[in-house]
Amino acid sequence: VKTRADQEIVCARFEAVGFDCVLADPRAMEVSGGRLVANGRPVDLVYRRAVLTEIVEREGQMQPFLEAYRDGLAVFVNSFRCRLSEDKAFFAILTDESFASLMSPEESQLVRRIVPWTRRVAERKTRRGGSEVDLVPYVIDHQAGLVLKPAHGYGGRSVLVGDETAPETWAAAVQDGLREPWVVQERVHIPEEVFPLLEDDGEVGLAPLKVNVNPFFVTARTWAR
Amino acid sequence: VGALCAYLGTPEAEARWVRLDPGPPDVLLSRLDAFLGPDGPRFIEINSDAPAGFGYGDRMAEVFADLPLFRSFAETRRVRYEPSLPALVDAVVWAWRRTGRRRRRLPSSPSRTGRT
Repeated sequence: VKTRADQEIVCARFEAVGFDCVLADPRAMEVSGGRLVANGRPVDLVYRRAVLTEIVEREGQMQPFLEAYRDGLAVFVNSFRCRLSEDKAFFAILTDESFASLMSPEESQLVRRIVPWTRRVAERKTRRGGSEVDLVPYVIDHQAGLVLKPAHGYGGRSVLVGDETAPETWAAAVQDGLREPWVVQERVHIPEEVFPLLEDDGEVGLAPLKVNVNPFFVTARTWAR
Repeated sequence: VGALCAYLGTPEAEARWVRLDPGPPDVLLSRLDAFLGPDGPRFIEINSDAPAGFGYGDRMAEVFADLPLFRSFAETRRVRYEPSLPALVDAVVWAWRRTGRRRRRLPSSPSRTGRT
């Protein structure tokens, strides 16, 4: 697991505040006596690291893990329902005029400011910059200002940045988007800053690198009160 | 949820698990992807399905705080870091306790293939 070190840090934090915590492979878990069991120890809560896509790909190897989820034998964080907001097309729901009634005017205003225009690729008309556009021709004609990505991808896989993609590759991706769930999104300006970088020869150089920010969100305790 | 899955095109192999309702909250933790521009942040994705990085951020902050260069910087600038792990633990334990369970054994379950 590429991010195992992150899991070890999280595990150590739970242990530091008094919880018994183990890193366990979901394929090695069992159900015994109505409890989910990992490494021979009963489990009350799973802080999940395996994503749902990986889990269903290995479903045959994870039956006890999935049985525990289905039967509520342990608390799972996050639940598999988080898969919905994880989807790249979820941002289409936030910005597509078809769903505008789901938000208050204040919420819509905030979304317009902080979320780029996003649509599921489809043969349809939609709104862009105050005008109605035919989506597929628009995406092909305005490649430079757009990004295409598979709705269910993660880790930047298969993301096509318009002005870094050959037109024929772009057009083929648009066609893929008509058969499978893809989204098109306004290309956001990506800031760059100069950072020191360890070169292959062991020297330290300076190079411009893209800078993004990744704030964490934790549901407030007040949610269920 | 079924209609949402249909709109999003969620594969049926996943949708049948998404349709199960283990009770709220559906999303306790997320990591957002954003770029900062002159007009503020623009968020391009939400990572809710097993978001990584809660541990890395806090550890990196500790490493930076010890660097002579950063200590020098902090002498002339107001620097504040809000650690993520206490909020993470607090939220996870709250999610656990609200179900009425009390045992103190919390496993963390990584995938073999992992993700970034």
